[in-house]
Formats: sequence, C-alpha cells, structure tokens
Amino acid sequence: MVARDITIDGDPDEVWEALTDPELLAEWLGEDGHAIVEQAEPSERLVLWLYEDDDPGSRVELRLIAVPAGTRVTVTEAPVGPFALATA
Amino acid sequence: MSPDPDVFSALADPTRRNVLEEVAARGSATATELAVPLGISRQAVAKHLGVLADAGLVDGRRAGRETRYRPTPAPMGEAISWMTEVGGRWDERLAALERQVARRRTARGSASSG
Repeated sequence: MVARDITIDGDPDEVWEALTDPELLAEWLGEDGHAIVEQAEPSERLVLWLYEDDDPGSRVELRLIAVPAGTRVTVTEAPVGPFALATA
Repeated sequence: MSPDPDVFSALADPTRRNVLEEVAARGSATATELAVPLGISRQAVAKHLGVLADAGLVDGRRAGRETRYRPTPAPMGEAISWMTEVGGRWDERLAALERQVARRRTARGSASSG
C-alpha cells in the first residue's frame, strides 16, 4: 500500500471542486488510465478504482480534512487482484 | 503492473513478519522448528507459513510428515518497486491538484475584482 498527503491552501469545498475537474482527472490518468468512482462524499471522501487495460489496477481513497492552513488531502492506493476484479 | 495484493496483506501482520524473518534467518524451516523460538503454537506457525506461501514469499516442500519452507523474496522486490513508482506518481498528482486549486482561486479573484 502507498500513502501520501499534502496540505493545500483552500477550503475542502475548493479542493473538492478542483479534484472533480475532468481536466485534472485527465492529467492524473494519462492516456492509458481509466477510473471508476466507487464512492463520492462531496468535500470529504472520494474512492476510485484506477486501472489500465492490461492491469487489474488499484483502489484509491482520497480524504479531505479541514485544517487551519487549508485542507489536508490524504491518499492511499492499494493493488486489487483478479479476485477483487471478479467480485467488483 | 500491480503486484499481488496478497503480498501486502501477508506482510501486514507483525507475527507473520517474524515468521518470515525466522525462515530467512535459518535459510529454511518447518513449523515445528519455529514454534518454540517464536513462542507460538506449531499450528499457528503452520497457518502463517501457509499465508506466506500463498503470497509467494516462501516455498514449501514436503519433507516426511512436515513441510519445509524456504524464503522466495522476489515478490517483495516487485512490491517495493510498485510502491516507489505509485508513490512518485501521487507526489505529482497531488502537486497538480494543488496547482489546480491555486489556478481556480486566481481565476475567481480576477473575476470578482474585474
């Protein structure tokens, strides 16, 4: 599993708007990447399944937390196997 | 290519990591040999070794009534390179998110003042 975080100058609503901008998602995924939104709780939490054509891919969870400096964004990504794919 | 998720779940358990460490330290081991030094039952060790084998981290061969396990660390290397690659990608993606928020702020600021 991979975990990263960043604190962004802006409130969770602003970060959520930017996060769900199709332009940003296109930049994130590149040419071969695809994303399926599994869960979306506006300004709080986004769960994505990221995959490429030849790869079952991984599950990504982004969380937005209001902090004095703005919004703390945490992300975790964990691979999913063929079993998870079959039962998705 | 994503690594086998079993590698991560197998290594998530601290007792299982101890079992793997003991197998690696000894070069090979059976559940019976590890039960006393690890302070857990033979059955518990056998179960952990089974999970490690399913994840490809050890290879078990029958030796009489017991199974003898050897470490097979290749999946660990794959998992580490995946974590490095994916972690680097998220550093870039989060930086792009930060730029996107800043761009929107600037656009809104000039719209309201202009």
